[in-house]
Amino acid sequence: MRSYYVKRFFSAIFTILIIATITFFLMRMIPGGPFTRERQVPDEILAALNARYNLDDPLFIQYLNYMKGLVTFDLGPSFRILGYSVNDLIREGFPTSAKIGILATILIVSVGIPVGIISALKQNSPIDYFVMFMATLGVTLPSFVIATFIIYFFAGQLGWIPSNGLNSPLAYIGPTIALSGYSLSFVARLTRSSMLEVLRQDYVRTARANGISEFKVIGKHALKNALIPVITYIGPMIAAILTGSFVIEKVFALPGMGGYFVESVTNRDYTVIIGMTVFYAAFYIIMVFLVDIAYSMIDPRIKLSS
Amino acid sequence: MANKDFEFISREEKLDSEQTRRSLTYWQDVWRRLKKNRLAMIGLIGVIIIVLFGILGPIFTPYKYSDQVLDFSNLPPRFDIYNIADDEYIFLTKEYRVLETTSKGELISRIDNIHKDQVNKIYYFAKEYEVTLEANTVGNYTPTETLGANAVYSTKWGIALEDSTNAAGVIAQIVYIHPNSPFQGVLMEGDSFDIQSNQNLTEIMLLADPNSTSSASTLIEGRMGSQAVIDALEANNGVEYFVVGDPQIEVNFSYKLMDPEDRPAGYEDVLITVTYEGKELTEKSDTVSNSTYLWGTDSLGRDILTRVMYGARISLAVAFVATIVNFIIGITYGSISGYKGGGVDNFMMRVVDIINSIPLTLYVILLMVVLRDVVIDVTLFGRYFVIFKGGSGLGTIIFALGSVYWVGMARLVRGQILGLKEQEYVLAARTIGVSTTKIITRHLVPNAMGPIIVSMTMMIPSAVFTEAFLSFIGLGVSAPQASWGTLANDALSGLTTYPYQLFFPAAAIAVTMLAFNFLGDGLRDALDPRLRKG
Amino acid sequence: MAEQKKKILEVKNLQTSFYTHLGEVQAVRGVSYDLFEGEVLGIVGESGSGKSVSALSIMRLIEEPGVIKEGSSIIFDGVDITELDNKEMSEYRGNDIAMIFQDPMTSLNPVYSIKNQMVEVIRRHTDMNPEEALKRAKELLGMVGIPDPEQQIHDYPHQFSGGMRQRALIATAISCNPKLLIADEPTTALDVTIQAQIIELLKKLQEEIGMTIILITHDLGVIAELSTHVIVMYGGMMMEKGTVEDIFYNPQHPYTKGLHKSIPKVGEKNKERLVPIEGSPPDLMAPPAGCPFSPRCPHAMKICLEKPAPLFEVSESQVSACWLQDDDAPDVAGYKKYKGAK
Repeated sequence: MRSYYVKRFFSAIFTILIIATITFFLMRMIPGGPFTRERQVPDEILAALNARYNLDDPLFIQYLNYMKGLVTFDLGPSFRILGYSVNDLIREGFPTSAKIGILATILIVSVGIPVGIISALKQNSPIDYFVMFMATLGVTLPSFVIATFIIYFFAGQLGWIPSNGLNSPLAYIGPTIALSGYSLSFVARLTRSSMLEVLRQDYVRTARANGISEFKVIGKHALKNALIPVITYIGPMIAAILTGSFVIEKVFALPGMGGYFVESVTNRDYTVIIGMTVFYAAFYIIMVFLVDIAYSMIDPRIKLSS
Repeated sequence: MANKDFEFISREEKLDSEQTRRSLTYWQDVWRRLKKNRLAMIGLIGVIIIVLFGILGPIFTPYKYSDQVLDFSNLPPRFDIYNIADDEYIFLTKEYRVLETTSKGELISRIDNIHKDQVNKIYYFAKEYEVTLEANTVGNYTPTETLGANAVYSTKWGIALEDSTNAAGVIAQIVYIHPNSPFQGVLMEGDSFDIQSNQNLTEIMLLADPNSTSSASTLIEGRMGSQAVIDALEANNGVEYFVVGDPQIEVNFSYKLMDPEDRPAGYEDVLITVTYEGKELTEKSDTVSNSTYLWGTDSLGRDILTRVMYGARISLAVAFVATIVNFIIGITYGSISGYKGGGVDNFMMRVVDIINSIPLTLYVILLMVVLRDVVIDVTLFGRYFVIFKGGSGLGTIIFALGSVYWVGMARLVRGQILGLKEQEYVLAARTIGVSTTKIITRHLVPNAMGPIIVSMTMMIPSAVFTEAFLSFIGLGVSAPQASWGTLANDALSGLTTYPYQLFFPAAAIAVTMLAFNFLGDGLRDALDPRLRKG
Repeated sequence: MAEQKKKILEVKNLQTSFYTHLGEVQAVRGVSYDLFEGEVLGIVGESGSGKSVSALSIMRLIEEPGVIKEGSSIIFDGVDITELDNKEMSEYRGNDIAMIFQDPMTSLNPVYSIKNQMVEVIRRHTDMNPEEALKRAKELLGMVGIPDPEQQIHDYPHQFSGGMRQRALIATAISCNPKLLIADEPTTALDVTIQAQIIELLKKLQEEIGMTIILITHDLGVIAELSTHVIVMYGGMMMEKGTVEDIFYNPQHPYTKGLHKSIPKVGEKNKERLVPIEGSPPDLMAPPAGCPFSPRCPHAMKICLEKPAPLFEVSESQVSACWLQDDDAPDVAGYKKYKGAK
C-alpha cells in the first residue's frame, strides 16, 4: 500500500515535468518573442534584451536552463514587470488567493454537504425544492455574474460589505461566496443524489432490517458511502476554485495570483505564464494526490486497485 | 345462470382479457419518458427558443451589432419621462443629457447642451422651449486608481492628470470621468486640453479643489453659454466666461449638492425636478419602456438586444462546434482505446491521464495565448499558403476548446466500449468476420449512444460557460464582435450605474445553462431509468 | 397437533400497494396465513408475484411510495405490528424478526468491517459490552461456517466471497435469537454449489435451534428441501396453500400444476416434456378483475375472468383458490371438487 502512494507521488512529479515541458515549447511557438510590441523596438535593443534574458541561446539550452531553474524552484524573471521574478509574484499573490480559496473550501464542505443530506432526507418537500432551486441556479450562473451581483446588491445597494479589497473581515464575504457558488451548489446536488442513491442500497435495508436506529442508519451507514463521490469531486473542485479565482480577483480587485496570471496573459508576459501554469498545475496535482489519499482512507475497497 | 359462468373460454378470449402494454422501441420509450418529465420539456423548449433567438433574431432587428449612436449611449430599457409641451416629452439621462422622446418611449433626438455653469449648477440647452432641471445630487466617488504626484482629482466628477507644462500653460489629460459627472459626453476619458489658452472646443477652467491635499490639484470645470447669459453670470460672479457656438435660446438646469448623511431614505443619488416655463413639473409624467432600444444601449450607443442576439450566435456556435469536435475526437479515441485494449489502451489512457491531471481551463488559456499569435504558413512552388492563422477569432476559441475537452468524452466512450465489447452480439459479429471498423461503428458506438448524448448535452452549457469565462478574462472574440461573456465583461465597469447592461447577457447565459442542464438531466433519466434520481 | 404449537405470526388480508406517478401498483392483494413455531413456510412464485413485498411488509420495510393498506393486519407474537411506529418496530427488527436478503454482494455495507457491522447489531439488542459482543460475533461466524472467525471478522465485505457474505449475513440475522427468520431468496444470487451449502446451513439452524422461518423463493427445489408448509403466490394473490406434501403430491391449482410441469425432474423414468406456462405475469398496475392467472390458465372459465376465486378447502391443511373446485364447475381430470369456500 505504501508503494502505491510512492508510485502515485512519482507519477505526480513526472506529470509536472511534462506539463512544464509542454508549456515551455508552446510559448516558444509564438512568433517574435516576448519583446515584440506594437511599437517597433530597435534591433540593438532587442538583441540586448534577448542577451540579458539568455533568449539568444539555442532552444534546447534554454529548455535545460528552464528545467534546471524549475528543479531549484526558480521560475525566472518577469519580462514585463521590471525587477520582479515569477517567484516574487507568486509569493505576493498566493497568500491572498489561498485565503479566499481556503475560506471557500470550508464554506463548500460545511454548507454544501449538510444541505445536500437534508435535501435528500426531505425529498420532494418544500425544503428540498428550495435547495434544488438554489443549487441549480448556482451551477448555471457563471461566477462573474454571482460576483457582480454581490457587488451590485450587497456592496452597492445595501452597502453591507465593501466592493473591493480585503481590508476588513466583512470584505472576505463577497469573494468567498462568489468563489464557492458553483462548487457549493454542485456539492449540494451531488451529496443529495448520492445520498438518495445510497439510501436505496441493499445494505441500508439490511441495517434497517437489523433494527439499527434511523439516526445511525443515516449518520453511519448511509453517510460514509454517500460521501465517497463527494470526495472524488473535491479534486476537480480545486480546479474550479483555482480558475474561478481569476475572475473573482478581477471583479473584486483583489491583489491575488489569479489577477497576476490574467494580467500576464493580456501582457503576454511569457515567463510569468509558464511559471504560473506550472505552479497551478503542481498545486492542483498535489491537492488531487492528497484527496486520493483521503479517499483511500474512507473506502477500504480502494487499496486493492493499486 | 350460474352454470354459464363455468363455461370454458377460448384462447383468443383469454388473450383479449390480458392487459398488455404496447411495446415500444428503445428510442420511442426514451421519448415517452422524456415527454413525461416536465422540467426536461421546459429545457427542450428553452433550447429551441435560444437557438431561434440567435439564428432568426437578428433578422428582425433594425440595428447591426456594430451600429453606434453616441448620443443614445447608456440608455436603460425603462426610463422616466417629463411632459413639457403637447406631445413633447423629455428624458434626462444619468449623464445629464436631455433626450426628446414620444409618450411611448421612442427616442427622437438629443437636445444639445450648450452651456454648463458649475458654480451656480445651471445647465443650458438649445431648443425652442425652455427647460429647467433641478437635481439634488450626491456625488460620492472614491478613486481606486493610484495617482501620481501630479494628479489632480475631484472626488465628485473625475480625475485629471497634469501632463506637462508649456509656455502657454498647463496641459491636462482626463483619465477618469465619474458616470454622474455633468461632463459626461462633453469630456471623454483621454481628452487633453490646454488649461489656460482655452483653445479647445469646450472652454475649460481648472479651479482649486478644496478637498485636495495636493497643491497642484484643481477641479475641472467647463462653461458654455450664450452671450446674454454669460454677461449675466459675469456680472454676478466676477468670473470671465466664453462663448462657444451659436446658441439660440438658453435653458437652464440647476443643481444642489447634498450630503450623503442628509439624504432621505429611499432617495436615489440624483433627485430631479423639471421646470418648464416657470411651472415646476416635480412629478415625472410616466415611466415608459424604451421602444427604440428594447433592452437599452451600451456605452457606445449600441442596441443591447441586437448584441445579445449576435452574442447568442457566437456563444452557441462556439459551444456547438466545440462539442462536435469533442464528439468526433472523443469517440474515435475512446472507441479505439476501448476496443483495442491491452498496451494500446494503456498508452492512450496514460495520455488522457496526463491531460486530465491539470485543470482544463488552464490548457485552454494557454492555447488561446499561443494560438492568437501563431501563423503557420508555407511557401510552396513560389506560392504562399497560410495553413493556420490564429488571432482572437471564433476559430481560435473553437480550436482551443475542441482540442482539450475531448478527454472526458474519450474516457466515457472507452468505458462504454469496454463493457459492450464482451457482449455476445459483438462476439457473433466477430465470428462471422465483420471488420473492426464496422464492429465499432455499427455495433459498439450506437449502443453506447445514450450516455454519449447525455454527455454532449451537458458539454454544450459547459462550453458556453468556458467561452464566457475566456471572454471575461479578455481572451474572447475581438471587438466589435461580442459573445455573451464579452458583453458581460464590457458591462462590468458601469455596473453600479447601468446594471441592465450586465443583466441581459448574464440572463442569457443563465437561461441557456438552465435549459441545457434540464434537458440533459431529463435525457439521462429517460435513457437510463435506473439512474433516475428519486 | 398444530393446536399445541404456539402461533407466532398471523397475517390477515395483507394488501400492499405502491403509489407511483404512473398509478397504483397493487403488489399484494389480500394474503392471509398463520405461522406456528418451528414451521418453515415457503412462499413460492415468479418475479412480481408479490412474495418479496409480502415479506418486506412483515418487516415493515416497505419504502415510499409503498403503503400497507388499511384493513391489513400482521399479528406477531400477539402484537399487531402494523400499528407500531417506526421506532417501536426497530426494536423488533433484528431482535424478534430477522431477515436475510437475496443479494449478499450488496447487502453488507462496503465501508465497514464485518466485525463493526455484527457488533453493532448485537449491541443494539443486548446489554453486552464491546468485548462480549465481539466474542459472540466470532461464535456466530464459527457457527455459520466461516473458517477462521478470529481473523476474518476484521475483514471488509469485499474480501469475502458471495457465499461467505451470505453466511455473515445469516450470522448477523440470528445473532439475537430471533423468533422468526425471513429469508428472501437467500440462494438466488449464489453459485449452485454455494446454494447447496447455504441451504444446508439453514437446514442445520432450523434443526438445531428449531427456528421458525419464512423462506421466499421461486425455486421449488429449495422449498422441497426446507419447508414444512408452502404458499403459492401469483399476481399478488395466494393461489394455493398447504403442507409441502400437499403442494408437491396433490396440487389442486392449475398454476401450481403448471409450475411442477415446467421444472425438470432429475432421475425421473417417464420422459415427460417440460411444459412452459404460456403468457406472462399480469400487469400489477391494472390487474385482471378475476383470477390473476386466468389469462394463462388452460382451464379458464368465464367466471375466472370476472371474479377472483375464493379459497376452497381441499383438506384440513390445504386450500386452493380455483373456480374448478366449485360445485357448478365442469369436471376436469386431476381436479377434485371441495365444498366450503372460506
